[in-house]
Amino acid sequence: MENEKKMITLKSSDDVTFEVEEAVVLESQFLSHLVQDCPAPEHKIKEVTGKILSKVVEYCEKHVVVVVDGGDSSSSSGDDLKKWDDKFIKEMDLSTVYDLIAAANYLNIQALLDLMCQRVADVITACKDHKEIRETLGIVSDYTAEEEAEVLKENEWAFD
Amino acid sequence: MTSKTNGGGYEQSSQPSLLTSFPEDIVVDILARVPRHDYPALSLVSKQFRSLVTSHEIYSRRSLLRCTENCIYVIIRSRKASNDRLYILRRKADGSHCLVHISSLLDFPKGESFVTVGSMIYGFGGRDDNETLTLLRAFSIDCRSHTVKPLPNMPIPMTNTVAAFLDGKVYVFGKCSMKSQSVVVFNIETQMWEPVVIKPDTTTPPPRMIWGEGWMRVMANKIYMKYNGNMLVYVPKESKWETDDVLSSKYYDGSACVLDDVMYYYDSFEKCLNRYDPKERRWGVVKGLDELLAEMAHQYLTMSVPFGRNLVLFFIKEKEKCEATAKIWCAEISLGRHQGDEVWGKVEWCSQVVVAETMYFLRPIGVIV
Repeated sequence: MENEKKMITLKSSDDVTFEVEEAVVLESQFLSHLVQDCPAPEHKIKEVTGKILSKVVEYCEKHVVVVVDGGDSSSSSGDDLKKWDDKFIKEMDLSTVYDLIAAANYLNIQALLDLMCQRVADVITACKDHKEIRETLGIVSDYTAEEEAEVLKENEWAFD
Repeated sequence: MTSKTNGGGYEQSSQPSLLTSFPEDIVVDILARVPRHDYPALSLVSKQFRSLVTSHEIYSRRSLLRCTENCIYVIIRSRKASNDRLYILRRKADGSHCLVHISSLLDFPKGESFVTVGSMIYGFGGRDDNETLTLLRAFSIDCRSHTVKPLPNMPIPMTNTVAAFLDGKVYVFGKCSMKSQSVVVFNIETQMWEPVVIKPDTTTPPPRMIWGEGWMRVMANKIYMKYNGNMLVYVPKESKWETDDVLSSKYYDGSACVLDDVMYYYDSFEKCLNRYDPKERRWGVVKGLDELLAEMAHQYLTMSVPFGRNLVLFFIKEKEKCEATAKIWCAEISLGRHQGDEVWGKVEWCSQVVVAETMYFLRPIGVIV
């Protein structure tokens, strides 16, 4: 009986369903509470689309497997997980990253939120100057030319 | 929430940014993970970014996320400028290193002794512009914002001050009169001076030399201070004074620094980098640095500072020491153990970092930002 895993169905805002083990759901603090408080077999998550929820489920399934398998948490499982995370975010465009940040924040999955925030930070770090950061993040400057010159002067030390 | 992928990269400038629509807490989380040398570029992005990267919040988050970085600042005093100048050691895009003047920080007073506490530099003492009056002044430089703040005056006038930080307190040691020395204590949390003035309880031996720069460092929870060639050791936890004859046996000065409770200094007489471990009460030599050390001028023209797990030396080359301008060189040295006891150093990089005119005081300070 112990081996029989309890399954839970998650339904996205656009009605895509995912059947996952309860352990996977427990990766999310929000879903843990939801499952505990309301023991229905299916839970609708109105804030997350099917596309993003599939990524969230993929991430949580991978991370829960490692924790269960590697009871003695060998370092190689940590390295493998790191490699998996790198691959997971490698091909991802920024708007998916943003959607995953919003989802991880809403569902309260700290490790996923950390991973995604780091990804945005890495994208910013890869930019060569403030103009490229603006372009990449789609931010429109609210500085006047004078104000910008002032900030530039204040930070003169940092530029070649 | 909508999914806005179009499948190709992230150059989607036509789309409105979602980043700025996130709760500020998340934006702080992201920006805290960006290396600190990119903060000036972030400041130029927008007003919101500028306000975030100059906030205390982002620096607390950096500590929390363990994203803090070691950074070296250098205070340079020259006869030309009436105020001291603060420089930062910066790695350029091409990989070379240089000292860059923080020009936004123009007005900061001449201090005599400096000590670092996290991302802050504390400065104490000094003389007035005519070099006659001893000043009680104390101030802090916030290396996050590059701003200076005055602190309450020192409780007693002292000259030849040196300072060190241990367990939330800055200890400032100096001369109160021709024959007496004292330690005053500044509490970092309350930003106030403690009412006690600590006096060495042993009769201080007569000076071994007429003039000597003071020296004060912390090793293994003890404060080591050198004055006029004599070594005094204070153990704050037990309010006890000790001596260390082995440490007193060599001549070193302000150039010595402490890394992982071991002291290092460049000995220009022996042309070696000496190390002293107070636990073993034993001197040793860092091997593998002959080529670098052979070029270096006298040790009083050399300064060392810990940089993470490495050491950074600022020096003038022997063959350039008589030139009109001071060409200041810098080398980062990593340390490792080989064959049991031997400590070997490796020069990670070495380059000329600044040319200073009429420079007569250089103090490198390692901070964490």
